[in-house]
Formats: sequence, structure tokens, C-alpha cells
Amino acid sequence: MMGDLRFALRMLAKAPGFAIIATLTLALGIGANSAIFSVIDAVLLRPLPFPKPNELIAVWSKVQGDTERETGSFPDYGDIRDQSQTVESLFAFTRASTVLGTGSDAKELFGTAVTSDIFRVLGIPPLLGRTFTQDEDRTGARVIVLTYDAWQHYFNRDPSIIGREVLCSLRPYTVIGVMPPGYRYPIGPRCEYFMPLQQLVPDSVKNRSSHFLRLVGRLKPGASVKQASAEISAIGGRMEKQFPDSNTGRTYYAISLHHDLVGDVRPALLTIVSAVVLVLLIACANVANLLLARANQRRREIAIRTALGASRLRIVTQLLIEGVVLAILGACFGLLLAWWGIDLLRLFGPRDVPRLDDIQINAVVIVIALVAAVASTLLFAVFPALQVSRPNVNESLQEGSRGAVGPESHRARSLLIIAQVALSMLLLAGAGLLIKSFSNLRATNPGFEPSQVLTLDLALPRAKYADLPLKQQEFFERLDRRLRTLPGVEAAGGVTPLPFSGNDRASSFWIAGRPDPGSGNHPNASHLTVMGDYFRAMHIPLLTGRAFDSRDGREGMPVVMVNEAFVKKFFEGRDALGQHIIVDHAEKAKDRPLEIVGVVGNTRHESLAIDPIPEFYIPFAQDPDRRMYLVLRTSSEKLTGLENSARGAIHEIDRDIYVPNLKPLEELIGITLAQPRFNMMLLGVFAGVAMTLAAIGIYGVIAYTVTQRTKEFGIRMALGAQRSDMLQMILRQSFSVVAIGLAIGLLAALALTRLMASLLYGVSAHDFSIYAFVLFVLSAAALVASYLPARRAMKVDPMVALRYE
Amino acid sequence: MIRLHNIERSYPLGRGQMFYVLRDIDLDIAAGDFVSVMGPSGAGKSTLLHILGMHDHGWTGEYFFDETAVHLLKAKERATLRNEQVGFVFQQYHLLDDLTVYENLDIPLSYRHYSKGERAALVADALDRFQIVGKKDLYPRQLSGGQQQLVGVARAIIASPKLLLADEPTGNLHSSQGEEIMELFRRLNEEGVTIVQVTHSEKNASYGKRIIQLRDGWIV
Repeated sequence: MMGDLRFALRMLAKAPGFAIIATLTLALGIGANSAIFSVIDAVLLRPLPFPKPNELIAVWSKVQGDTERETGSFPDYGDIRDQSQTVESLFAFTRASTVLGTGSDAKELFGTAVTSDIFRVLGIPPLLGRTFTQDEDRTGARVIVLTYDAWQHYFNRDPSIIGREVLCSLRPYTVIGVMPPGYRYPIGPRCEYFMPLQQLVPDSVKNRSSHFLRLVGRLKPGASVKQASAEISAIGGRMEKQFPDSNTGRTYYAISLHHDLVGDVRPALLTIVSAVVLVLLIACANVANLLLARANQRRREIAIRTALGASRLRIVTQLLIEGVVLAILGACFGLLLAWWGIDLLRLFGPRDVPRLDDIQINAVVIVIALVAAVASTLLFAVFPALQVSRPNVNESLQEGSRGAVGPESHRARSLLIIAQVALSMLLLAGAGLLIKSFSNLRATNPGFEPSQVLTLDLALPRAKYADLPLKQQEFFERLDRRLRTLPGVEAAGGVTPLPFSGNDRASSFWIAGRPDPGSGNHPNASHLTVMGDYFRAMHIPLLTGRAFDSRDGREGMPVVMVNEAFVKKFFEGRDALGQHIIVDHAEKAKDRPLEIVGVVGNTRHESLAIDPIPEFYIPFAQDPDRRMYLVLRTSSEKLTGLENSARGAIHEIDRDIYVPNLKPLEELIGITLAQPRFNMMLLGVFAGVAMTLAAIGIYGVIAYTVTQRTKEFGIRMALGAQRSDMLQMILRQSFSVVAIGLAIGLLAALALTRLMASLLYGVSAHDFSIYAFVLFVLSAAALVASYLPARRAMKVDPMVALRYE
Repeated sequence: MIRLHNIERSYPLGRGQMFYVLRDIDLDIAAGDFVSVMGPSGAGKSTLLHILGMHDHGWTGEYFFDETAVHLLKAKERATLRNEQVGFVFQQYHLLDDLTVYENLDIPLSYRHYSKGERAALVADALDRFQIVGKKDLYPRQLSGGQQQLVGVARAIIASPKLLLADEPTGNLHSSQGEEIMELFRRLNEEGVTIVQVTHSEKNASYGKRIIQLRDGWIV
């Protein structure tokens, strides 16, 4: 065995070109597979980083006729927690942010406002100090628990942090604990602290109609997700009867937390895994082709060995050992490629893929890579080994024999090329569909003009502005007047929530003058509050009526603007101007009819892929808020100094306000495109690699064929064939094989790309233009790959080929 | 029919030196002639044959085929002339292994713009004339050496060339098969085909009308 190994190494060293090409080909396949498998391992396979992760569930509500996975209200949460017999503990949370410190040292932190049950549910004790108690939860104590990263980053791992007071959004909080490294919830996004929920939103937690919380729980031992879901659904049914105003049509259900976290990315990841496996298969087919060619060249050597008494098993073993050496080399270089690839995935991967930062090459990935490399190489090395291990000694040893190649070898090569072309066709079709889908998304009009618009997410500190609508209004109106005078600002306004900011708000309402269907049956629409020249700054067209102006102050007549989708859905497209709607508020006193004074064009809010939904806009003076997204339309793409001017304008009014950086609106839209862009990029890269490998495969086969058939070409030329005849013959033969591959690939693509439908936008899985283009590209690649070696056939000198004198 | 004047063929040896395979060849071959080229190995016999067959382009001098100045023709024009006028028979037969006898006979016609019907008729004629109809679906490896060379000759003349060039046509055959082939050559010559053969065999040379001796590239 050692002798065979030494001989294998010597043979590879003797043919460095073959060894390098085979190793790199395998490395590409193994590298791509290892990188993607490490993503799958981190995102889909690895259990959640909490004790007994299978017991963890997510609880969502579902509204009749609406999407699944709706958030819940705090009172509903309390009822489910108290009544459930299958759920041991349940916590509610919402994402939050705060400003740590004041003045120029202030930093924005992102965290979770949560009920104290989180620490019981997730079951990991703090590293330092303690977590907050149910009492602190209820009484709204100002305590904060830091994550390890925040403790390290902002407090330099100060061991005396426990008990220290820190200023969060101008309010003093006591640090009571630090969680161990890696502990964060939610798992995906940035999470630096935990605060009791109730003291942050004391009003909302009392309102059963305020659905803003996500719920996560731990099952009692022995309880299943299905049982829990059925029980929670029953509790939801009781709440629906008990609280028809808020809960009509709303049910609750449970799913496993792991599925909840990865369910969204699963189709994309599985598509990418399929793609990468295809790349490996294509790489293996190439290596098999190389091994076949090499084995044929070595027929004479093998014949000598056989003549000297080597058994067939011995020869097959020797050839397979060479394959294994190649596989191990390929796996090592592949893992190196994967290591770089993972850095790129972390860099370009969309932020909403959970646990993207946890991707790493661990022992499992290394073992899988080695096994995949050895298994695939052995699989593809066996055939050539078996084929040449039974030589016709007499023929092979004849002097000058070039190693006759039997028809079965040609057939094997043709089959490999057919497989490569078919698999490449499948991958290219998938990539083409994703590229067109992404291009459609990019070209989708959001309903406003995002270029040259800068946004600023400004939240006034609760300590100074909470429950003071007049003060909020005064601040923002002064700021609005100041911002529109800044140099380079063409129009300024404000909105909350801003399209593509990741936030949305829906409110229920009913149309005055029509029979009230009962508050539980009121329809919902997106509810936006706007200030200043928002519509002009965003270039949202006013279709009829008027925009808000100075008449629409706090004491003015209550007014509202709506979008086209609102008119279409609730007024069947008829004139809505002068009609009134009544928006449901927590306090009945606020339920005043609002007159529709204007209709604006539709805008997309959450994503370019989601069609515009009905929206209504209320003027800021009549619906003040502590938080506004300021919107500045500027005269050029990059205005130097605008950020400092805006910061200066804000601090002129209040020095204590934390001002985050200005963000271009296009960047916010770009974030929502990250996932489709990532899918497209990955599949595009894999398809490119696949096509290149297939082209190399075709090149290799044709080049080998030309070498083998030099004598035949010489005879044909001696018999009168022109050089162009030779070229045509080779291209025809090459294309007859390629065409079979294309046909099989086309059928496979038509059948399998349907599975990608959920990833596509504005393009059918059977889009003719994509298939036509992919056929053209692949044919062109095959043509080039065939033409280059075929030129050699044109240059065959019949005298040399026929070996005269 | 053929007039060679001062034909020379050489290969560079490095440092500006040349190795001459053929030197100052002057040769006239009339239509209907049957010439045997003889000489020891390395004398330049096959080179002369491939120059006559217009496979070799690296020579100097003047070569007239009928009234056409071959030395002035471009490669493509030479190929056209060769296709129209010359047929080849090789010592190694050089049949294409993966084609049947029928298909091997069809190849030269496929390169000469015959219609499908004409090709079928010509192949059928050749099979009949050489009495190999029964072998038309066999592959070369299923034939004896003599049968393979028979097919080789049939293939060489199927497009009715004026000139038949043969490079040691019986070199791989035993004597009785060799005689058969030479008799065939004689008959073809009698039918008007001009033949130039390269041979080591005095007996085969005697089938021809005259002998040219080559030695170290010179006609002696």
C-alpha cells in the first residue's frame, strides 16, 4: 500500500499539469460546498444556543384574511402565559434602542425590551450580577442587564459594573447583570442590553388592541409543539369571544422556535445548497474525464504490469490510491477556499440571516469536506480504473501504439459532457431567473424618488418629551423650519414610520356615514404621521385635493390624506375627497372623524416586492409623536457639511438630543434588497463556476480527442478533406453531445426551477427569454471550448500524421 | 503530365545549416506512365511522393501538373487540384477504424461535392469492381491485410483521379496478396491511370514501365 502511495505521488509529480488542474477543480467544488455547508450548519442544523432548545417555541397571532406571524398584545400575552398548561414559561419582547450617556460621548445602543421571564425561558444564568425579577418587571424598575459584547465594548469589561448607574436616554438605570458571551435575543440582529418592558411602554402594555410584542416560551417537559399550539389556539378563541373589540378574527398559535428563526431563509439556502452540490458534481465529472484521459495514456504501462502478473484488483487499487491522493489535496485547498469564502459570506451576507456571524469551519465541516472529496473522487475514479485495468496486452504493447481508445471510453466521455452541460444549464437557468427577478425588483418604482434624499431617525428622549405632545410638536416644527433653510436642502419634511425603515404601523378605522361593523371588525390600514413638505421632499405625487398646510394645526379641523390603494379598496375607486374616516384610538375621546382632503400616489413601504397597501396620513400637529424620520431632499448626491449643519440645528433647539448619522434613503432600500442580491450573487457565482468547469471539460475532451485522432485527421486530409471540413466535423460531433446535454438540462430546469418560485419576483419560473439566453450563452461557451482544440485538428500535417520517413 | 524542375526539399538543422532530403530533382512523367521510385531508406522516396501528391508545401523549384504551375498555387488551390486529380494508397492502408468498408469508400467523395445519389452509385460501382460487395458492412479490423489494401486502392481511385500515388502498397502484405494488388495496379494503368509507386521490391517495380532510383536525395 505504501509502495502504491509513493508511486501515486511520483506519478502526480511527473504530471504536474494534470495534478494541478485536477486538484484545483476539486478544490473549487469542495470549497464551495464546505463554505455553504458551514452556513447550513450554523443557520439550519446547529441547535439554538440555549439548554434543551427543542422545548423552545414562538407564539404568533394570525388575523383572518391577513398574513401569518402577527405580533400580539401585552394583555393577550398575560392571558396565554397564565392559562396555558403546556407552556412552562413565556416571555414577550420588542426591539428597543437607547442612547447611552450624553453630549459628544453619547452612543446609540440596540437591545430588547422584555419581560423578566426571558431568563427562565432561555435558561442561562448571568455571568455577573443578576437578572431582573417579576417585581421589577411589574413596577417598571429602571434596571438594565448588559450583554457580554456591550460590557466589553462600552465598559471595558469593568468587573465593578454591577450596581453602577448609567444614563440611558437621559434617565438613570442601574446595571444589575452581565450575560455570558454569545447570549443575545433576538439571535440575529445587534443586541446589547435587556430592559424591563413595562416601564418603557407603560400605556401600550395596557391596551389589548396594541399588537407589538413577540412571544417566546418553553414547553413543559413532555409537552409537544402541536399540543401547545392547539391549547394556545383554544385560549385565543376564548379571548376572541371575551374581547371582541380587539380580538375579532385574531387567533394565536405556536411553532418551534428553531423553525421560526430559519423558516424564512430555508428555501433560499436549500436552493443554494442544491446549486453547490451541482457544482461539485460538475467538478467531479471533470476530474473523471481527466482520469479517463490519463488512464488511456497509461494503457501501455498497465499492460506491462498485467503482463508481469499484476492482478486486476491490484491495478484498480493503485489507480484509486492516486484518486484518493488527489481528493485529499483537493479537500485541503477546498477548505482554504471555503475559509476565504466564509469571510466573504459574512461580509456580503444579508443581516436578516440568523446566526450569520456564527459561521465557521469546524470539525464537522472538515470531516464532511474530506468525506465528500474522497467519496466523490472514488466514485468517479472507479470507472476509469475498471475500464483500463483489463487491457489487451498484445495490442497495447505493440510498438508505437498510442493506446487504442475503445468506443466505451468515448461513450463515457460523452456521457460526462452531457451530464456537465445539463447540470450547468440547470444552474444557469436558476441564476438567470434570480438575476431577472433582482433586476425587476431594482426597477420597481417605490412610488417616490429615493435619490438625493437623506433621512434622520430622530427619537426625542423619553425623560424630557414623553407624554408632552405640545413639546414634541414645538420641537419638530422649529426643527422643520430650521432644516428647510439649510444650504443645499430643497425640501424638508418628516414621517413616522418611514418607508423601508423596517418599521410599520397599522391602525383600524371605519368610514363615517356607513354602518359601524363593530370595532372588532374595523378594517386596518397603514397609519403614517407626516410633517412639513414630506410629499414634496419624497416626490410623492398629489393626485387630487390638497396637501397638508398651515390650516391643519392642532386646533384646526381634523384631516387626513390617503393613497390610491386606500381609495380603491375602501371607496371602490370613487371620489373620496370630503369623506370622513374615524381612526380607532386607545382613548375614545380621540375618535373624531377625519376629513379626507387629498389623495396621493401609492408607495411601497416594507419591500419593493410587496405591492402598495392602503395608507392614510395624518398631519403631525394633529398626531404628534416622540419619534420622527426627518427627510431632506438635497440639491446634489453628496452634500459636504450637511450632517454637521443638521446636527447643529437640532442641538440649537436641544443640546441633549442624540443625533444619529444621516442615511441616504437609497441605502435603506438597498438593505431590503440584500437577501435577493445575496441569493443572486451566490447562484450567479456558482453558475459561472459550473459553466467554466463544463467548458473546461468540453475543451479537455475535444483536445484529447484531437490528439487521439491525429492520424485519422491526417488520413482524411490525405483523402481530400479541407481544413474547414475538419473543423466542421469536430464542432458537429461536439455539438451533437452538447445538444443532448442542453436538452436534458432544459427539461430539468423547467421541472426544477418551479421550486424556486418563492424567490422570484415579476418573472415566471418558465421565462422564455431567460431559457433562450442561457441556451445561447452555454452554446457559445461550448463553441469556444470546442473551437480552440479543434483548431489544432485544422493544423494537422498529413505527412506528419501519417509518419512518413 | 507532370514536370518537376530543380525541386529541393530541406529541413533546418540549426546554426544556419540545412539538411537536404531532395536535391535538384528534374523529372517528367507522361500521362499513362507507371513509374516505380526505388532507393534505400532515407533516400527521399516518400518525400517525393508527398510533393507529387501536393501534401508537402515546403519545397522549392517548379512543379507543373498538366499545364498548371503548382509552385505558384496557394494552399487551397493545391488542395482543390489534388482532390480532383490525385489518389493515394498507403503502406499502412490507413483505413478509418470506426467506419465500415462502405463508409471508408464514401469519404473521399464526401470531400468532393458529389451528390448523395452520385456517391452511392460510385461506391456501389467500386464495391462491384473490386468484388468486395459482401464486405461493405465490415469494419477494417474484420478484414485481412490484403482485403484492407484492396479497399485502400478502391478508395484511392473512387473519385477517378488521373494520378495514383502508392507508398509501399504491398509492404505489409504477404507475397500472394502483394501480387494481387500489383496486378490490380497494372490493370488500372492499362485503363489509363498514371501511377507512381514507391517500393523496395524489384519484383513490384517490374510491374511499372520505368524505374527511378533515388539516393541521398538525388536521382541517380
